[in-house]
Amino acid sequence: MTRPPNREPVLRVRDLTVTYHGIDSPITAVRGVDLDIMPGEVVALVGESGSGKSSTAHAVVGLLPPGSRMTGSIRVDGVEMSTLSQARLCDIRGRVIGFVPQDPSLSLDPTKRVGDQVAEVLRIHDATSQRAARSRAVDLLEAAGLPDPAVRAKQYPHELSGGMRQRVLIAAALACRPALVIADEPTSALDVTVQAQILDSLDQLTRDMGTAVLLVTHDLGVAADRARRVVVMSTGRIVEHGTPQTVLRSPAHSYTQRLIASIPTLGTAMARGRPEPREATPLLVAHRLVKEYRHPGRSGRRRSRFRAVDDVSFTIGKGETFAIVGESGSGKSTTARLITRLTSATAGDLTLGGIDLARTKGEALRQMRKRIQLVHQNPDASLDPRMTVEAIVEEPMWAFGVGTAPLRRARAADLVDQVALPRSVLQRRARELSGGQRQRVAIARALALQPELLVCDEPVSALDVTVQAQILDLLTGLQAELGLSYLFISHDLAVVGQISDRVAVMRNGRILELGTTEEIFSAPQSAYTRQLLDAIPGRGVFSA
Amino acid sequence: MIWYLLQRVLQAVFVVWAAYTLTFTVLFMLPSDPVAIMLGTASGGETTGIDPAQIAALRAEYGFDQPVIVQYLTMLGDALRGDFGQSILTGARVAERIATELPHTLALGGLALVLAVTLGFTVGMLSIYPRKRVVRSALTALPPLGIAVPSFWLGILLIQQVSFGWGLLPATGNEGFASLVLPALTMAVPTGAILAQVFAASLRVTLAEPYIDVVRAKGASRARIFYGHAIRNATLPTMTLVGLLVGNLVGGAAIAETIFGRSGIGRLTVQAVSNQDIPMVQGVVMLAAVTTVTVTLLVDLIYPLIDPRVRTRAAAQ
Repeated sequence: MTRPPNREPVLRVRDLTVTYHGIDSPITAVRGVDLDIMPGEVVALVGESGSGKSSTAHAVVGLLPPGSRMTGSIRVDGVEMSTLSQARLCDIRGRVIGFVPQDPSLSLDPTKRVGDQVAEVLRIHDATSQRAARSRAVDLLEAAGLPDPAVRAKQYPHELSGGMRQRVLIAAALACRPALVIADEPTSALDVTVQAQILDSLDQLTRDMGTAVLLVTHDLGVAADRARRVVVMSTGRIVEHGTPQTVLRSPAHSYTQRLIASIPTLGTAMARGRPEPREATPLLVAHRLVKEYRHPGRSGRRRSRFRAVDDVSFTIGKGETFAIVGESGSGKSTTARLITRLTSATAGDLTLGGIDLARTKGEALRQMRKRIQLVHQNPDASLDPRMTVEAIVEEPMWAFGVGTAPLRRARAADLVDQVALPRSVLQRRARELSGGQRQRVAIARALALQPELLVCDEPVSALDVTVQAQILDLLTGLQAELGLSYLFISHDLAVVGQISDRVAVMRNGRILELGTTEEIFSAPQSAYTRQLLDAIPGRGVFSA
Repeated sequence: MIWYLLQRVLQAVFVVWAAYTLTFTVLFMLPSDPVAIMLGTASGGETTGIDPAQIAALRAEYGFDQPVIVQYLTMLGDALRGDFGQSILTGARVAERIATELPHTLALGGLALVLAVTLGFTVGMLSIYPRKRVVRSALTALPPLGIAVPSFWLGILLIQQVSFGWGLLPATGNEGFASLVLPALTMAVPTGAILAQVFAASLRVTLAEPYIDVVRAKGASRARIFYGHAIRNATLPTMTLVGLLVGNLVGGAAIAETIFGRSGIGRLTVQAVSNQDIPMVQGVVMLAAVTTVTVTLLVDLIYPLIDPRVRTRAAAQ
């Protein structure tokens, strides 16, 4: 794109500092950030949690939470934002700056029709009639790629899928053809294939309108694919910026280098080269598993049945990592719940080491639980925040009456060593730990009863990439040391490629494709697997 | 939707039946003898000196000589037909007595509820909405005060000041709207205070929701954020509480009617309980149960109108 020289940047941030009230002392989230975005330019702001990228974005829209302090200058379209009156600020928000939030499931008013939520922006800024705004909203929804926009506009948020909701939010953000759109992790809550489509729509619309975009993301791949310029933040400062090519291929700052090295890509996945999967003795055999839920029919009268897991068969060998990949609604998590017997299968067989698991009940089932342990996706939710780490790790042993109190304490200390945490964490509470440390505690707890199979349900999805890499290394190390088998559930093909021996791709409750990691990644049989592989962001930059 | 309705109604019927049975059981287990009460031996203890034949006749007349289960079923059957028997003290029909007293209490309770809801929502809203921190803090302190103040004390205070001090409103009696105001206010303060507290907390939670940020980013004014989005969403949890608090108002009526010397269900209850007038107590308890259940049912029916998610779930059932 050519632009006339000496044009004013649409966003000009100078020496921005954002401070929050901490429990003991103020926390400075952003320290002296300078940032310019030219009209029509797409700039990606990349960083891990706590880097200050979201605080920077929120400061620009004026959405910092109460109790935060901001200094420095933010000029949008030549207007200094920090000294504006409330009324002027309201006039600029929505009209000059659009905002696309992170989590579409929480970002729409649940009690209002989605069409009206788009029309609201027009009503605020354009003084149009309700009727005119509504019909314009339908056009905007259509432009944002929402199918059946006239019908959808009359629906409520809970009747739409995550991707559709994000389209609604994009339509609302772009309704007044703003000069700048702030997109705060707009697709991190969505499936990869949906992510690609949503970002395509956003690209298309902003290009047509000449709108500049500040794309905040933790995903370097997304940044590389979508932005003309990448800005990397760490601990509140900008540490690097430049074109995607220069930043990603020849990063100057050590933090950026570390960030890039941690990203699991298909390239690194193959390069790591796990040993040839051997014909291992089967540990877990799932045969034609089915899980049906009663599903209220849309007519309200006829009750149909819904198969969350539909005729799924696989085996997991001793010492093997078996991965199930799929998008939301594919049935992968339900399969994990069937294997751990947190729910029972409607039909099918399940054996662990030759013993029937599907129909075991009561105390026998409880004893079986020792052999299969679970690591959850979100360590914030799966650990009691008020329990000490020692109590958390000891709890399974206590539940099964393993050893005496001093023995359990000693074992807890060993387990903490095993997951590479300092022993000092034993007396600390879960809420005092970082996300990565908490996930290590969750793994230590899962190992407490010396299980044979560890079911990991999205164990690294809630973690930053650098932490993700460390946890994956830990899991690989523990497997070699203890001869564990893993059932690894993930939506992220790149992560799966890095850790697993064999992969099953699930969709709509069925296994579409099952093979060694090598086979799935280099010669995918189904169109859907190819689609999943193509949707992984950053392929162009990283593999070229 | 029909199934949703049916389910709610069945639940309501079950609760009323359970309340009836529980009251019957508790009253049956009381150590006093109803026949003795009827015969005027105050505590219902000694019946010596009264003709045993007379006692037996009374027992037979009221069915007290029957096995418990028969008594229960007979009374339940009568109750279903709206017949709660007669007061063992005055011999008046329970249903008729309740019917005469009910309008007074309905007027009082209705006004109290309107005041409580108005007060609760206004104070709750004003403790969040104003930009001035002082105003918010002051209004946030009000509800705990309202809950802490005992209502009989508040009632007496109002009589002292408003009636005797300023001579504005009557202190006692059943005549006209003016006599309703003070007792209704006495009942409304604690109820309204609870509502205010819950509504304010609910507003605070709602305002921290990501969708409010999105509305703010659209350029919405503070008023639009509140009236267009926050209030409706914050009303949902508060609605459920309104249903529950109506039950409380029945208890409040007992206090208010006693202090302000009004006739009504509250007064009737106090008399019935202190005289161990079992059928009368049973009748009043049933009235309270039916009222609470009906209001809760109404809340359940209003819920889908406010929250489309409940509507979808209801339609699916």
